[in-house]
Amino acid sequence: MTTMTGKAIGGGARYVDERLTSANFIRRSMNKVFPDHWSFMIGEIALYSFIILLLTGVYLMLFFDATAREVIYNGSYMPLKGVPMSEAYSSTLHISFDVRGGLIMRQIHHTAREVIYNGSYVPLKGVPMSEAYSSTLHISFDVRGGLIMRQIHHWAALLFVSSIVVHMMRVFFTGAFRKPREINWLIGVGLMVLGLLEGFAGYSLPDDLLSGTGLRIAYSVGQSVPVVGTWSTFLLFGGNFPGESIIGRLYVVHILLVPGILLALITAHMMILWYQKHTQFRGPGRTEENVVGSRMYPSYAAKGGGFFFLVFGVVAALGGLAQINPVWMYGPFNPSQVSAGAQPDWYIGFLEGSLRLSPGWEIRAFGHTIPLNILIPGVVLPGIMFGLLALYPFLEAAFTKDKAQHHLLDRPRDKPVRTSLGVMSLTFYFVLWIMGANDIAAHLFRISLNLTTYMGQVALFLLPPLMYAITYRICIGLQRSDHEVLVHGVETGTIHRLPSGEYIEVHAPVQESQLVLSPVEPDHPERIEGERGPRALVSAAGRAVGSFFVAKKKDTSVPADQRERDDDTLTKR
Amino acid sequence: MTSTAAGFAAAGRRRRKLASYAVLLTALVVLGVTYAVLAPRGHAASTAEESFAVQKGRELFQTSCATCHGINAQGTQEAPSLIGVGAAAVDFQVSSGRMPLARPGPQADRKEAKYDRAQIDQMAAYVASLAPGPQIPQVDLADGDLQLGGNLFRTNCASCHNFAGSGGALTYGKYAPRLTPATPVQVAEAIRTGPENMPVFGPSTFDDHQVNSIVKYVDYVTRSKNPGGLALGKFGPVPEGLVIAVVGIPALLAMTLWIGARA
Amino acid sequence: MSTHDSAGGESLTGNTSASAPGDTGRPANPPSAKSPTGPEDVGPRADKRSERLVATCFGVSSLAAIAFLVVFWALPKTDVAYTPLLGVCLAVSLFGVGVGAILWAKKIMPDEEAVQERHPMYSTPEDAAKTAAVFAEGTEKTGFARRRLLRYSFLGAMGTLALPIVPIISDLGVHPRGNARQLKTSPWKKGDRLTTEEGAPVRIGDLEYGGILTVFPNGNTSPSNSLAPTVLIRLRAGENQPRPGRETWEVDGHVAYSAICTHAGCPAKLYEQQTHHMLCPCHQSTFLVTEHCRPIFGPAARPLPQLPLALDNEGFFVAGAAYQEPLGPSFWERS
Repeated sequence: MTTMTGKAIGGGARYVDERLTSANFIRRSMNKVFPDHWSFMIGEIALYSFIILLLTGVYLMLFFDATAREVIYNGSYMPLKGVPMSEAYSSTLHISFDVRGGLIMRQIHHTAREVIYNGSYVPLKGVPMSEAYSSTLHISFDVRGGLIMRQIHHWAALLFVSSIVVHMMRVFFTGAFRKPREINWLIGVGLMVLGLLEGFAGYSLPDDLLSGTGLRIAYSVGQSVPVVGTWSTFLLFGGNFPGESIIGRLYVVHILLVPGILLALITAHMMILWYQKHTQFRGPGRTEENVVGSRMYPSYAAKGGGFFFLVFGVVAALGGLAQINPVWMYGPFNPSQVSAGAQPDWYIGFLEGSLRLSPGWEIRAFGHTIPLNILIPGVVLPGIMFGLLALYPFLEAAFTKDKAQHHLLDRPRDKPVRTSLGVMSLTFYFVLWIMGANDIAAHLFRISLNLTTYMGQVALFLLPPLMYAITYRICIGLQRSDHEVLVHGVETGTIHRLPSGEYIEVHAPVQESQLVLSPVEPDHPERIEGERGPRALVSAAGRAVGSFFVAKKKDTSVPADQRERDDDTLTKR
Repeated sequence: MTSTAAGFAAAGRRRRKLASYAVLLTALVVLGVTYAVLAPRGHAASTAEESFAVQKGRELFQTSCATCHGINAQGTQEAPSLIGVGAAAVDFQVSSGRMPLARPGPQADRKEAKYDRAQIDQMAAYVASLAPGPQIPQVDLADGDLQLGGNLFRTNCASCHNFAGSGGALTYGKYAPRLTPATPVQVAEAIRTGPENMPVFGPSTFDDHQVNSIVKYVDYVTRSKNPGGLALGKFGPVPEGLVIAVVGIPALLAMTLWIGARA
Repeated sequence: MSTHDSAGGESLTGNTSASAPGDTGRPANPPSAKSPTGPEDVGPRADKRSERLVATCFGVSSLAAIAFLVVFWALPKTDVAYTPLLGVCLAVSLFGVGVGAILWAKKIMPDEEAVQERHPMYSTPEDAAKTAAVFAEGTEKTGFARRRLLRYSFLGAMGTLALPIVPIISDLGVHPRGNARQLKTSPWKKGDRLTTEEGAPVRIGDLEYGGILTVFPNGNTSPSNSLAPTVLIRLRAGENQPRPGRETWEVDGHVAYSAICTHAGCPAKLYEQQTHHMLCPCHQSTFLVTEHCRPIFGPAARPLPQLPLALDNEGFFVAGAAYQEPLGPSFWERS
């Protein structure tokens, strides 16, 4: 069997090897070890959603916003004035002759020009609308399977950002961002911000009433920036809102610019992960110097590959069974119309919430206006939030003076300060997020809208410190119960009667597999056995209570001879 | 034996058939009489019948409305005057169960109607007899233009009632109700009379064709099938985000647990 | 059973002299010591059962894929079940492959734990020193540090090359100068008729008490005129409490305000005719119509701008004057 397979692939492998000298690389890749833990697969959800987004996105691109439509040219090139031509051609002329420097920077330019809808969605038949909106209706109602592709694309987008956030929470609470993985953390924050931007651009493309309302708010947020705000929004939108260019520009941003950067960053993220090897939880035989788990081929490849299909299956089921972004009901964008419950997709919801909670502050002085009621919640606050998120690994390292490399993960309870800070920040975020939907909540649960706002304003400042304290208590409590188990053993449920007549419950010694979860001696789990273990744990718990991110260990330098043996080291190639 | 049974059965069928004809006939007669009594004043109904309806309506009003609206519907501290609100307002409020009010609050809630058709029409006739006001509109969905109605709805109604008539919150506990349970006539009545805090759209703001169009669109958008699967309440992106948070992510996390579990 | 000696563990990928596939890595658990739940222990019958289970998954996947095709072509695309059925078929098809592959890995493939050594995440001091030396040598050869003329002219050239980017970017939109003027210009001029969305002019009596209508200047409903939408409201006599100096801006209880919220620019026209609250659905700024639309709740800082009303000689509503202040959200150059 093995020899047959070997023969079958031998020819092909030799062909490739004689051109790429790839045998060693491929063998090392197939033998690469990935630790098995369910939480390590969350990042894969994001990766797989991205692949689904690329697949469905390319399909939608083929239908969206056809620009080969006749218009009458009215630009500055005299010989063609009044001549009918395609939109694409006209815009090329526009770029060439009417935009300074445009002849060099030629690009195809999509506009939100008005057309009369003539598709099969009856309530909008004969209604004037933009090409963008009309083509979205076309995909939804006149292309076989078009609606499910749109819905899969949109659900995959929601899942993409969600799984990035959950993945980030896993990385944060287990301390996987610590040295040497800070660069990958930064790339991850970049991926998340770009994911938000990409999602917002896509949400805005169909030019329906909701997306137009979202763009209107985005325009106002841009306009609120002192000195350069008006300037930059005029450049971006091509004039006062709604301008002429934003749909076309967002299209380029959505299908080319941001996906390109995302793809590059995801590649870098994974190459670094590959090179640095995955972190792992503490366990028998797991040290800072090794990785214990399944090999890439075949076990991990089968599981990971199978998981791609499961992710795709969940998104396909949602795409078929749950209606998303029914733009036909929203109607084409019109600046005089708005719908109650005008909300963005969930990942922009925290900004909506912060704008809603803002007090009506505005500075008017020296001939200028600074709208704090939109600048602070819309620009400053997200800037601080993402800034702190990006800087966290460096802040923690600076405060704890921890310069060591870490490949073993922390259990959240063992780092109560970090865990509590994380829960505190998440609480802050979730209050903003929920306030982004306070009108829906007020309507469904019959609460006063104004009351929800007051509650949100109080909760935003009250809940996060409260959650910090509660989380800290829980962490310490969990540590103590661990300690209890270590000292007294596991309750067996067996009751013995002593000769004195006293009843006692028999406690069994802790199994090694449970012991090694404790943070006592991460390098030497075997030391927990015997007398040293419990005492070491007591002191560790004591330190955890009183200390702020105790750096428990020095840099793990590997003996030179061991380094020689590792043929993954690039310097040895 | 069997033939007798069959005979009985056949007779039973005939009797049931006859009975159903009788019921139908009675219903038609009742309907006709009711229509004659209630139809907009003028030709069909005689003044005697009308004054009978007004008389009955006044009695109903005295027993169940007068405590708040005043003995002559002139209004009190608790409730507004009903002079000049017209039959449309009475029909809307009582047929949608909002009146009589269950309990004081920021706004009257829709509930099961307390009075039957005939009683509501008698009350409407009484209030209409006090002073001229909007009559119960004659809704003709066939006359409506779906596209016009959609645009008018989005400009004038969607800002409070949401793009699909799912309703929305207003200030201090008030809300624009969900339009799904409303009948076409009730929608038209609300447009014409402006119940509570809803603005009024009179005949010179929207003509009958425009109102018919809006009502037709409301009927369409609240009752049409959803081509993309479950509509999730038609509240826009909020329930969509919840679905990802409550269904999508947990389902996938459960799968990672299954994959990660040792065989 | 899953324990092993890590101290003596050699690098998994360390053996480059491998001749057979088996010895390139060292399974943590020798094949003879399979975990109790491992496939080897459950016997050939269970193994066959696992195989059949996995094959069934793949078979279901194929069937669902064919069902997808059937639905795709056989069902009319207007059918309300069309998209849901496509979704279910596709999902089942994908789940079949996914579950099958994972079951394959879990039930058929041996459950072995492998150990791999990490390589250190830094270079040796000698390596680092060598690299630094190579870089220093190269830099020395360029003479970048010594030759000032070359250095400054090169940096200067890089700097001037950046300049062309400025006009290219600045021509992305309309010329920045005059932006503020554009934002400050009222889309309504004195004498503009208030027209409905369909272009019909509005006269006294068109609105009932408690009525509201969205109006546009002289029938200009173009979306590009995004600051123009205005609401005309008819208040009952004596309800309006005009701001000093604005007593003549109302006509017979009719008042007109910009519909564009002064916070983030959404149309704020959720009008409550009894409380006279005007609510913006985006961020819930609330304005009091009877008191010059001053903000009473939410993030908005300024009242909605008021449009002075007048009647023309045919009895239609017209703008008595242009808006006296810039419309919509605030911006740096506003005032």
